[in-house]
Formats: sequence, C-alpha cells, structure tokens
Amino acid sequence: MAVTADASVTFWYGCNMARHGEIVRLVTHILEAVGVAAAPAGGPGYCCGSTQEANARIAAGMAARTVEKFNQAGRATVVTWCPSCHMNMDDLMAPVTEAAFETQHITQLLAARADRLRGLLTHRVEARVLLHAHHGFHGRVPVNTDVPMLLGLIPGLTMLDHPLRIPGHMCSAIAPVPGELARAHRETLAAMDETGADTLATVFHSCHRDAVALERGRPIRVVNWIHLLAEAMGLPHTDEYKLWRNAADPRAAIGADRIAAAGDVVFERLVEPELGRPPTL
Amino acid sequence: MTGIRDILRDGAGTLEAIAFAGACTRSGVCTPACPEQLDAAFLMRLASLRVRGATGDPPRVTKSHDPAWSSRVKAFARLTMSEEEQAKWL
Repeated sequence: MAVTADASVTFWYGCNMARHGEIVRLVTHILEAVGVAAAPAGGPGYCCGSTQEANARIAAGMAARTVEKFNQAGRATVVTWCPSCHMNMDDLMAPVTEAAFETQHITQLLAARADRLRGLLTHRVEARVLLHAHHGFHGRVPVNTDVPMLLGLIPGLTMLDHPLRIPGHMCSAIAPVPGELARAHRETLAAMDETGADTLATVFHSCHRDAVALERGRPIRVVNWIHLLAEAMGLPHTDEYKLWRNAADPRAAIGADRIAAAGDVVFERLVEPELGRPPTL
Repeated sequence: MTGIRDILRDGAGTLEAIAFAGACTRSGVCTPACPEQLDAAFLMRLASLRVRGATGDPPRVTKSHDPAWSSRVKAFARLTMSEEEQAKWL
C-alpha cells in the first residue's frame, strides 16, 4: 500500500491515534478494499482544538488551521475516527471556518458499504465479542449499532448483547473523574462474565489504550473493532501498543534500536511512564 | 438548569451548576431527555467551556491539561509509524 494513495477522501485519524499506527494503516487498507482511496492525516498539525479547550482563542486558531488544510487538500470528504474531532468539526470548526468538504465517520462509511465489505471477510474469527460501548457520540453517529452490525458480518464471530453503556463519549472523558474509569472497567469485566464473552472490542483509541491492560491475568482478548475486521480480511498486523503496555519490560519489547531512533530522552520522559502504568482497576 | 442557563448568559452561575458543567463527560443523554427538545448536550458543552475559562473569564473549575501532549503524540508516532508515514500523515 502506498503511504498516500491517489486519494478521494482524507482519513482524519486525530492526534492520539499516533499510538496505534497499525490501526491507521489497517483503516486505509480496508477503505481501499471497499473502493475508497484514503489519505491519512492527523497528529498535532491537524488538531481539532480539543486539547486547548481551556483557551477558546488558541483552540479556534488550531481548528481554523485544520479546516483550511483540509480545504487545500481539495478532497470532498473528510472521514473521521475520533468522536471529539468529529463533534468539534460539526459544532465548532465548520460553523466558524467554511469547510469545502463533508464529514463522515468511519463507521458510517463502512456501514454504507457493508455489502461490499461482507465479501472481503473470508477468514473465520472464532470469538464471543462484547462491544465496549459508551453513551456519548451514539446520539450523533450510531456507533453502538453500526459497529456490531459490521462485526456481525465476520464468519465465526458472535456479537453479544448487554445493556452496559459507559458514561462519556470515550474513556478519556471519564478518566479525570475519580474512580469512574476503574468502575467502567469493573462493570465491563462483569458484563463479559455475564454474557460469556471472551473478547472485548473497543471502538475508540482512548478506550483501547487503557482497556488493553485488562488482559493481564485474564483469559480474555481486548481488540479494536478494526483489528477484528482486519483479521477476518486476512490482513496481517500487530497491536504493538498492547504488546508494549502489557510487557513486563516495555523497553525490551520495543527494542533498543527503535527507542534510539525515537530518542532515548523522549522515550523516557513521554512514552515509558504511560506504558508502565498499572491497569486502572 | 437555571444555573446552567445563567452560565450561558455570562452570569456567575450557581455552585451546583458550575460543578455540574465542570463534571460533564459528554454522555449526551441529556438531549433526548430534554422536555423542550433542545440540544442540551451542546449547551452543556458550551457551559463546560465557559466554566473552564475558555472565553477569557477566570476559570471556575480546573481540568488537568497535558502540556506535553503534542510532544507525546509525536514521540509515539516515531515508534509506530515509518519516517515516510510520519512525513505524509502528520
């Protein structure tokens, strides 16, 4: 796959998805397979402003710059991943800086191409899957029904129903509330027990990066919904973030050469503390 | 909701309303529950930005902010993306 194809859409993966390069790659592959050539764009240079919410002037400047970059790219559609980015585009960005594109969430785009996707899901994935579902964002984009519908196309996979809906639009929204994230994880594990689930499918990145630690010491698998689609399509991939987060020694798991290439000091200050965090329980 | 309306109208707001706006996690369940069929979640979002001082007033609640966010994102990108991908995708 070319890094940037002759793209018809921009895949705006957000900023914190930089932790999950393989998901960006897989989404681009999957989109290409259903007939949509996508150019990924994200990171701090394409900020929606949510990271600077305490200062509307700075946030608005970042948001305007991002809309202008998408306008300059000249693609008619920006496909979103992050619910914060998606809602900010709808509510705060496009109403302020005229957008020459429409915004569509990745789940909407794939749901609209479900018939085409179905034929590509040729590998059985034996899994009993519970969706890691939040209340928020579903009112805007029906992720809690579209993602199970898409995963239900995978041969061998059983989607399980449970009424649990976690507060917030993704886990980063509840993380600052004392005890809430731990409670969400406890309730999720209980829901997996009740339904007999062996796999937890996260929808968003901020949920995924914390929930992967739930695998430690438990006979469960925590994957993102894109990982499951990729597995069913036979697309090879490794969830490196999960591998590193659950490694006894993240440094050894990553390897000295890659750490040196990223910068030893940068790794020690910015990456290692996050990977070394205990599970939130 | 009186206090939330007051915050949205540049008022001081009640302590309860400030705490409520500051604790909003964007579940969005308030919109379908609103008897007036308003976009309550959007109003809560604006109130939440107001109480955090986004429009220049002194913040009435604080929220943790990661000053190293941008550097951290780039650091992870160096580990998970090739140089070519970083050059084209970031």
